Amino acid sequence: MSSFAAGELMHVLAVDDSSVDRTLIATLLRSSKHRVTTVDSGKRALELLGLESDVNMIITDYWMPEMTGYELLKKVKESSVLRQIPVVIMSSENVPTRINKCLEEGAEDFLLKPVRSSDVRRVCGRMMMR
Amino acid sequence: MQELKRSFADLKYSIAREKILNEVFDQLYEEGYDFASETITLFHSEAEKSLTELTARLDQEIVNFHMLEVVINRLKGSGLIIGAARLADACLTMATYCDASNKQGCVVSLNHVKEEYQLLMSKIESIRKLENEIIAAGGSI
Repeated sequence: MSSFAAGELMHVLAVDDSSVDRTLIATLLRSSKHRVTTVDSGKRALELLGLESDVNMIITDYWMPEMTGYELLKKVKESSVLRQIPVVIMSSENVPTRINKCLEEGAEDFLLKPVRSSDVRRVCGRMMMR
Repeated sequence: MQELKRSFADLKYSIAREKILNEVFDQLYEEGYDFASETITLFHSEAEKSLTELTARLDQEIVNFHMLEVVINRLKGSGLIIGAARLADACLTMATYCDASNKQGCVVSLNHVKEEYQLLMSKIESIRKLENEIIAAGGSI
């Protein structure tokens, strides 16, 4: 993972199979001046992570076909190269067991959809303070 | 102009009272009219595809309930983004049937999802029509 100085803006990888959600999350991140790359699947996310080493944070939907956000989280955390990248999960469902499962697997945060600009600011702000 | 704006306010009030759209819909406009308009257009396009896919999947001899649940949750999520509260609730009901692998429940609830979607889009169309009239008359949203 690319390390960055506290206060620098991040390169965020946003993963969601919904074009509506991708547009919203990208808009919220870009309004905070972060660089955003969006992809529509966990598979594409892993492909991109293999090519680009400057991703500072991954924000992913939970419910996606083929590979859920949880499965993507697991693959990231199992990788010696990628495991340091913080992963945030988003979902429209407030299921405590699911949330705990993601947090126990190493997710930094779990955001309920619809994601607000305050959620994005909070999460990005915390990452940038690390 | 005053008449148009009054009609617009009345329409928004009745839609909110019927819980078809909630305050999240108005919050979309905080990012700008173009952003709100683009998001609604994207939602419409994606929802049409999702509903077509859900119908096709339920027509199969063997139903893949996992994929049904993925698609209905996608529709629910994007509905929530534009504040479509009743549509999201209808999607949640169907998701519950998907989780229980209940085909009959899915069929019935999908019909309800489609009804809510048609109602939602007719209201959004009315909103857009009034917005365009206001803008054409020199006003702003």
